[in-house]
Formats: sequence, structure tokens, C-alpha cells
Amino acid sequence: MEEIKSASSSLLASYFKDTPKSLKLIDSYMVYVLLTGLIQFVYVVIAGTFPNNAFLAGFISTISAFVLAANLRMQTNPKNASQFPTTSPERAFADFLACNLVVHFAVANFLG
Amino acid sequence: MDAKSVVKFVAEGGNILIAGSSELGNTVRELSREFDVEYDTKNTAVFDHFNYDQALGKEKHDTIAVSPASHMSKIDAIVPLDQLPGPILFRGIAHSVNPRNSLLTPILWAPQEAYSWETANQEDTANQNPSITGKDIALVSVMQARNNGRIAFLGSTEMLSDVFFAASVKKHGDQEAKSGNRKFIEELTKWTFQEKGVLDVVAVEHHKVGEEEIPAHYRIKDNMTYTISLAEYHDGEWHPFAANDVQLELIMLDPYIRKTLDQVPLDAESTVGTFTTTLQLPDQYGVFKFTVNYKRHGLSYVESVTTVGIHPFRHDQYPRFISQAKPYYTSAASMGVGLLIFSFVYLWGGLDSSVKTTKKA
Repeated sequence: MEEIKSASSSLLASYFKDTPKSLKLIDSYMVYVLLTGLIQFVYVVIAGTFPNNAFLAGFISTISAFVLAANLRMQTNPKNASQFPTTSPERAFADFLACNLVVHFAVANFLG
Repeated sequence: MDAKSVVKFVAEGGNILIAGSSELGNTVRELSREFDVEYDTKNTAVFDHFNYDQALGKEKHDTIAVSPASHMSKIDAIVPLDQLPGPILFRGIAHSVNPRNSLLTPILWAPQEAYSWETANQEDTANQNPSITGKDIALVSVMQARNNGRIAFLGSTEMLSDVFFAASVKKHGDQEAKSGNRKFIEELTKWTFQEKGVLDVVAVEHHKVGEEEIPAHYRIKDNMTYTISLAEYHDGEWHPFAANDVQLELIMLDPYIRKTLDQVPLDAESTVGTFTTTLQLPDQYGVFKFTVNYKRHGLSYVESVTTVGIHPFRHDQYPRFISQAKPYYTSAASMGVGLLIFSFVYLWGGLDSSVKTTKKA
């Protein structure tokens, strides 16, 4: 128990100390997206699946936002730079925006 | 004339009445066999030593008095029991019907003690069993083919004679009564030659609830009303038909809905019997058939099929902005707004630009 406590506290400390601000911003965005998705999931369990298309659209919009944010985080993390030699952070962000545009177009269509 | 041409006549909708006797010829036997009716062999007759008529069957016990209450089928559309004044006299040959032929019904059958035996040597009975006995002996049978052609089989020509019509029946142990032959034969021949028990579909109407006209097609889950008008022919004219068991089926391969139609109450001015129901169409699109398949003993068959198309909702007929879905709308909108805020902060929020440009090289 002690070890878990000390390990988690040192994890948190190093996260706050070593993580660049932009990645922290992405993380907080992902937490927000995750919570929105969770709320919808709880709601669909309580209220039922009708209207199913609206539920799918709302839920998929959160999932895709989460996945795209995770991609952006991977591609802009300086520690992963060696794995993405041809992808600059600007390019990664532009990809992120373009993909989000497509997703929101599909979601708006499907929302009913 | 041969059996084939008579069968063809019935297949084209003709009606026939066949009356046999103990001297029945081969052509009529062959013809009857086409309709699953088997007359007993030549020179046989139905005998009954208990139920013979004491006047006409005194010598040979071959004129039997059949009580309609217990030995006649209860199909009022053919011969109504309560209109017969007394027992029915019969002198003639026995026949049997194939019980698996559902179109064929015995109308009158012999009493339990009757048997079919040779007319010539009645003394021989001790050694052999008669070929048919008791209730297996059909005396009068009728058949209505699927095309509503009607055939009646009688085992006795004398049933139709004035002597039998006018006779009074005296059976051992019973009161003397007037013979029921005249009324029985009258009703039977009327039925056979399509003068009663004939149904006709006068009109079929269907429309959406609140509308009057037949629509080009329906939509799934529409509420609609179906109405069919039936008339029955008897006594020389068409009358409104009354029943409580007319059913409507909504069929696409399988019946999706089967519902008993309600009869609109008849009054003095009704000319047809109107049967109607209101129902909600199933949540299933396709080409459906509204079918009324009404087949009852003694009545001509009614099969009315109306084909209708049931369409699904069009893309703009679904309900929109459902209150139950508001959390989902909010979520999708918040994802959009969240993306805008995130992008704004990410680009111009004064973040550590060194991270963003580490890889610039």
C-alpha cells in the first residue's frame, strides 16, 4: 500500500514537472471528452436506446474526438519524435483539425 | 356421355344431382368415383329390420325411415332441420364417402342397424358380412368443389317420387308422421343448383382513418379501416349476409395480422351485410394482401384478395428533435465547441512553443 502511494505520488510529481504544457492541454481536453462520453453511456443505460441514431452519433462523436486527441498527443510528444520523422507538430495539428471536421460532418448528418 | 365430360362440366362450374338405385350402371359409378363417392355393388340395397317404414317397406324392410334429428348433418345452409315435418324415407343403394375428402360431406346417413345387401337372395346373410353397415352407409352426400360447383349424390331415385313425398311414415314404436322427403328434396335441390347458400363479395373498401379514398399505398404503422360487403342469394334474390366469424388476414408470405371483422348492425334498409374493422398496420414494409378467406359448409366459398403496398417512412417523415435525445445533441454540440476552444488555446494560448516546434528541422 505504501509503495503504491509513493509510486503514484512520484508519478504525479513527474507528470506535472516534466510534461510540456501543450500535452497537458491535450490531456485535459481528453478528460473532458471522456467524461462527456461516460455521461452519455450512463444516460443510455437508464433511458434506453431510443433514438438509437442520435445516441450513436453523440457517443461516436466523443469516441472519435478522444481517439483523434490521442493521435495528436502521440504525434506532438517530443519523446516520440523519432517515430514520426516526417510529421511536424504543425502538420499533426492540421491533420487533427481536418479529421475532426470530417467526423463532425458525419455526426451532424447522423444525429437526426 | 362419359364420366370425363361430366367432370369437365363440373370443373367449368356446373352443378349436378346424381340419383342412383340398386340397378346403378357403370358410367355413374365411374363418375361418382371421380368425386370420392363409392356406390355399393350392383343389385344391392340398404335394409333395416328395425327402422323400416311399415307401409312402404312392409315386405322386404327395404324402405327405411331416417330420423333427421340424429342422422342428418346439422348444416342449416343446406337443409334446415327445423323445417322438416318428419322422418325421411329412403329406398335404394348405399354409398360410402372418402372421409379424407374435406369437400365432400354426407348429409343423410343410415341408422345404426342398417346394412347393405343383395336384393335377390336375402337368405344368404348368415355366412358373409355385408360390405358396409350402419352409419358408414351414406344415403345422401353433397360436394362443393373449389370452384363452387355443386354435386349431390343420392342413393335412391324413389326419394324423389310423389309416392314418397305424399307418404306418411310409420316406424315401429313411433308415432305416424308426415314424410319429410318433399321439404328435404326441395332444399337439397335448391342448394345443389345454386338457388341458396351462395355468397358474393359486393364491395371491398379500405382507407386510412380520417380519410375516405383508397390510397395509392400505405405507410407502416398507419391506422386504417377495412370494409367488405357480402350478400347471400336465396329465395330468388340477394339478401344481406349475417355472420360473426368473417376474418381479415394481412398477408406477406405469412399472416401478420388476423382479425375478426365486426358486422355493421343490419336494419330494414340494408341490402348487403357489411363487415368492418380498424387496425394498425404492422411495422413492416412490403407488398401485402388483405385477404378474406371465408369457407363454411353449405356456403359458397369467398376469397377476396386486395393487394396493397406498405411503404417505410421517408427520410423526412421521422420525428426530429426528440426531447429524449437532447443529451446526445448537447454532447455532439459540446464536442464541436470543445474542439474550437481547444484549438484556440492550443494555437494562441501562449503555450511552450519550444515543444510545438521541437521537431522543426
